[in-house]
Amino acid sequence: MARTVSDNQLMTGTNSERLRIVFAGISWPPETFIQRLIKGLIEAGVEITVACEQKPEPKWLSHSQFQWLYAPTWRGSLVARLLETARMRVKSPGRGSSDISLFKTHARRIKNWRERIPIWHQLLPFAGLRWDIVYFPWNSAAISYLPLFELGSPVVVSCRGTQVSIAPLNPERSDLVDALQKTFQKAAAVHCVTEAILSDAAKYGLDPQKARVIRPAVDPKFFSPRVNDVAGGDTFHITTTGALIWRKGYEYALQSIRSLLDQGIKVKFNILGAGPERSRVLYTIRDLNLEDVVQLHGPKRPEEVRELLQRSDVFLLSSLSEGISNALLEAMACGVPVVTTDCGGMREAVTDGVEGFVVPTRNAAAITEALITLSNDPELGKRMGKAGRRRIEESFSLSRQIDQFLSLCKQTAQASR
Amino acid sequence: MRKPPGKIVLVVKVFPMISETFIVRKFRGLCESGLNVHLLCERSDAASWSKFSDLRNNEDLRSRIHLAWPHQPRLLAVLLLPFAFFRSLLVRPRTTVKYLTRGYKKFGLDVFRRFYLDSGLILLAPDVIHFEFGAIAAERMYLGELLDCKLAVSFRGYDLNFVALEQQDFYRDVWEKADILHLLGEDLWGSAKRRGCPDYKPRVLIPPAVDTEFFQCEREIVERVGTTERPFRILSVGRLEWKKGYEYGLQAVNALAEKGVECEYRIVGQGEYLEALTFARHQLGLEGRVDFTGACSQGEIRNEMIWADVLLHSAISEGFCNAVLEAQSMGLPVVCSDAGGLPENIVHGSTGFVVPRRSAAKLADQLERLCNDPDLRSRMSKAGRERATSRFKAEEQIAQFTAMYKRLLRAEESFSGEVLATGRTT
Repeated sequence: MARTVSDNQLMTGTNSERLRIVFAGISWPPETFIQRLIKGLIEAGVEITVACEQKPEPKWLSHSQFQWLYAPTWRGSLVARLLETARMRVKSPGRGSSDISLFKTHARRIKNWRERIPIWHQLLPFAGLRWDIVYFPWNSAAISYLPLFELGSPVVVSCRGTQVSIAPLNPERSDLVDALQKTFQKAAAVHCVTEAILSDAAKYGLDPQKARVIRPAVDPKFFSPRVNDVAGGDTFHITTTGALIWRKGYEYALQSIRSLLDQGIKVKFNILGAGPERSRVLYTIRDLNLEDVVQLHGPKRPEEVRELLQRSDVFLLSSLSEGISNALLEAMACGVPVVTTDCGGMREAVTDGVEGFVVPTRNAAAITEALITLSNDPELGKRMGKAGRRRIEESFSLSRQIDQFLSLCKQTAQASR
Repeated sequence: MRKPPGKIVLVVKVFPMISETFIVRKFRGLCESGLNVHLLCERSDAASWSKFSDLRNNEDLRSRIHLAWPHQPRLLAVLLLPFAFFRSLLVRPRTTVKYLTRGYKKFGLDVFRRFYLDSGLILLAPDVIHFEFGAIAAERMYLGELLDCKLAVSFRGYDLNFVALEQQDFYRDVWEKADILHLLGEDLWGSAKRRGCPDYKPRVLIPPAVDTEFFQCEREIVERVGTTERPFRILSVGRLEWKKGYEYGLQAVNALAEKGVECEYRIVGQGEYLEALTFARHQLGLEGRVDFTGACSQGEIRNEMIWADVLLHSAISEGFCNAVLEAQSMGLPVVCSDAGGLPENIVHGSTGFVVPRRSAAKLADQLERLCNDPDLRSRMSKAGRERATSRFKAEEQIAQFTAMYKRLLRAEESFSGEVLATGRTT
């Protein structure tokens, strides 16, 4: 396996002026917003290493500021994994023997050797390597890489929602609370995507001094309103995008579509996305006799999402819990009015009555009412759509997010020097 | 000694399973009533066996339970194929040759793969094969032709309401080739028709049975409940999955509390939806009122039913629901949704209340009504017990199955479109 991490990544001889960041605990290709962040950082002159199992495409690797660190996951046949661990162990003494002894102390705490080897397997790729910032885009991943926090490179962790707002409530995952507290304690800085998440995370010991709220961003050049006003006919087009999982509360959205139909409003509801609860959505569509008006599209490319958004009269987010919905921001960027439930950080993106409506969670009747108001008043929809577009340009632009993230990393790196 | 009656083989995936105790009871009941019944499963694990000690200790019953040869990993299956072949040839030479010659005409060389998968059935040389779940029957309907036997298929909810919804023809073979269908009730028969089953298909409607000996108690009706001294006790029993609609139950409890009724809600069961439900409990501010007990044994469920004042079942999708049957047998009033067979399971207004599914407000209204009316609770308790003992007795169910098998074995040709037996529940 060709290692693409160059020599100046080793502990000795780092003299580059550029800020160097490693993205750890991800799989390739990562979510679109992480790809955009990587691209933006490269453009801002940062050297990026991605630590993952899958080899990134040549269009990434050909870039001189982009590097790949092979960090395999513990999957596949046991024999192959054991051999791989042994190989990495043999290669490692040349660099970072202090790291190895650190990993050793960590591994010793785990009694069962069957659980101990995967830990070696996970940590060894990082032995002896240093960056200005070790960045975990998901704190769920950071939890399983705790020893990397001790290596001396400052660690930045992103806090995106379910990890602090849902998972710690689950009695079967009580160990998570402890792990969360450790990452918050040891991280040099914590990035929260919303104020709401910051306050949730504070319950698990996050020091607000360390935290920085950087809201997600959309590319307003890509997600733009439709150019010419197409007459939509008399059908009211409602769209939603998101994984098919319980958090998205589709059942409430579908109940609301049913009552719109019952009140004689012609609607079409598009759901874009895939996920484990597809059968639940399908069942509900059948059960409520909505086969003719609801279309389940499956996952779509961003171009297709944009096209569908541009043809929509309203974007509906029926979630029970959110960080802040990227899908909703994209809709706003396309100049579509939104109806969203009041959860997570949604109020940080939408003001009730300005860019759309904010309604209580788990309440189909409230969604229905908001949708009816919009379907009765197309002018209101247009005004709200414009206001949404403006808000995105002002507060959720990509360049702003990258600047904020870069300054967080620079400050953190400087503080730890 | 009289000649043993025709051989009936029940086919399931995993046996025994605590969540499918009804299969264990049916198997026992049929054996005890003198039918020549065998059971074939793909998997069986020691941990579950420990929960069925009387079954484990019964030599005769155990000798009638057969485990199919493993088909995973594939390499092992390939290695075992010759052994399966010679064994079948030795034990059942005629059936084996018949299977292979007929099968070769139908499937070509693929017959060998199928032969391996079916070898458990070939060895048993059944007169009737009964697939206990529709989903495991869908691709094996050729067996009737290859083994010269009758085919019965049970549909219990999940198989009709969820399996392969996007494949229109998934059950076509079953509708064409099964000699008889067994459904739990009218609702599932409706679902079968919606999935393409013709109107004239022979069928029996036999609801599940409940062990009315085990599930019984002297119920004491507490006059005044819903106060801080004695909160109104609400119980739900079932796997934690979205189909059970616990979210609506939680919202109903929330609405009840907002009406000023002091209540406690216990949910018995485990499952992947625990995280969603603990989040809902948190979001609705119900931490002090709602308890998730985890999985419970039958005995513990019985105790919870003694504790409770009402059983709440807010399902979105349901086959028939054993917990609701058990509650009636225990004299526990039921408030449930109208999902699936629930309206056939309880008698609205007599043993409990049925409200439209996904309606927390209506659930809350009926709960409040029960809470405020001890006479109503007492009447419903008696009516529930009465209904369970008169309609859902295990002996009754076994008699209906026995009648079904006897007719299948007697019938020279396929039945025409009559409903053979029906455990009419209303």
